[in-house]
Amino acid sequence: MIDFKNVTKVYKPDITAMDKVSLHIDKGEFVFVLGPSGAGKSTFLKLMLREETATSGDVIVNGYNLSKIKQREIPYMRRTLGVVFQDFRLIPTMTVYENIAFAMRVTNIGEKDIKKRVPYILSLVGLSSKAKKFPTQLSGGEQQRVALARALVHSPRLVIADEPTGNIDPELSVEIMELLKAINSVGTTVVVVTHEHELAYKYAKRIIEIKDGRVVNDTAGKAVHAR
Amino acid sequence: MKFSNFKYLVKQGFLNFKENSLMSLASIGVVVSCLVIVGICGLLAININSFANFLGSQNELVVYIYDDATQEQIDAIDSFIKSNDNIATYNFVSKEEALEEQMGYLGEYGELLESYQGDENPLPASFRCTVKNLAAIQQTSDELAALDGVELLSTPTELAQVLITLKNAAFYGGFGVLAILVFVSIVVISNTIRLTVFARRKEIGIMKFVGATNGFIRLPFVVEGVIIGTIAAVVTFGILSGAYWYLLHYLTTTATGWLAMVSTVLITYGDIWYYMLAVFLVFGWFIGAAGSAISMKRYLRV
Repeated sequence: MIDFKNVTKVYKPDITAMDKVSLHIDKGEFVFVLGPSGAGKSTFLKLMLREETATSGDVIVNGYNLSKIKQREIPYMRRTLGVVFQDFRLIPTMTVYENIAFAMRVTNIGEKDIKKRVPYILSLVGLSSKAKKFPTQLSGGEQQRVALARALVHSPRLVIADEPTGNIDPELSVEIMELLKAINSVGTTVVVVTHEHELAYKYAKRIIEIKDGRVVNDTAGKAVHAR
Repeated sequence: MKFSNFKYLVKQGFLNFKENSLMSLASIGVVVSCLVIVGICGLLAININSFANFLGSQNELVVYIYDDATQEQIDAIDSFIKSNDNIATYNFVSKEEALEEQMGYLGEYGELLESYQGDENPLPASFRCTVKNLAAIQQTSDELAALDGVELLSTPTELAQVLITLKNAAFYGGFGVLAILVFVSIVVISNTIRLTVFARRKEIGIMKFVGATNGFIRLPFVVEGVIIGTIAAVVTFGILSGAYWYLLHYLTTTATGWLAMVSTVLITYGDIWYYMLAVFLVFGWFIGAAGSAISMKRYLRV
């Protein structure tokens, strides 16, 4: 599913954001990638989304080797995963319905299927009544649920969430995490990138800790205790 | 791409155009200005060309025949002219016809030439030819001069050279101006659309993350550019059609002297309006589509 093989990322002039990282995330896992600011979490995310390329080593996501992928294949690779960003990244000029429908249009799904699928996904995240609202008319938690709905709309094999609870209230965080758990329970791999130790340890799955661009801890999450 | 998605993207292009109506209007203005100049150059070039062709067709290459040339020699010259690729039309003018023509020119004084009838006629028989390609007139002339029975040739080579220069200047000058203005238009339209693209760069980034291909993201912007190009083309067509029609109308109804002569050679509005519309539309679309495609390039590298 996700393979980092001896991955190094150096930003010009000489900032090493990731230093010889090797890790493997299997199908169906629920993984937290944990680390403080500047640890290399963003780089980890950018490498997985092929927003950046590794300086050396191989990044393999859903069968695509991102170090060797052709430019025109990148959109197709991205369609195999769903991404939820901390800042939601919803298109402000589109309604909730359109934001989700857009992700389907991109993959060339016809209007008929869109009309069936979007209401269903909205009901899953409990936002059926907000379909016609614009993102700015929603609370942070609701916007995050729209982002999650969009990530799920084409049933991806892998969902990556970047600080999914970073911009929302604690009680809404629980809601989002429960949704991610539900998604994982049906076999979807979930990777949550966060700096929140408590969140990671509360949901005690596998935790990969990154510090100074290196993996300093990788545990299956059995006997982990919050520090 | 599914038709419903294509329709959706085209609709987005129209919405973009509407949302950026002020900038769109500015773009249309600039493209119209460029297309008007392109149109004026084009119309000038084709009319200069038509005028040069007209002058060329009036230019005769005259092959004078020796009075003592045999009928065989005259027939040989005739068949040579007939088979020559560069000669468009020709006619044979006998000695008698040449004299009658001269008498005709002199009008009432034509009688003065009465005494030159018959054997006293000093005028030679001739073949009067019009050529197809003025550039090759000298070569044709040389070939004819080498034939038996040909006394001399009257070849308007200097005028031919002037006409050729005129046609070339119209063609290359028009083409040069066209290339510069198309370039300017593309730069202007791409800058305008770049503002839209810049304002929507976050959206474009989001589209990329949900797996949109560059073509999918680009289409609405290209549609926007094409709308700008189409409107600019139609407006330009309206302006230049009106101006050209008025000019022709003015020349044919009120002009006198050489201007009246020129007006008979100009290409009529009826013969040209559909070319004008087609050319403006093609340029408008090209400028619009190219301008928007260029402006997007940078923001698609995510």
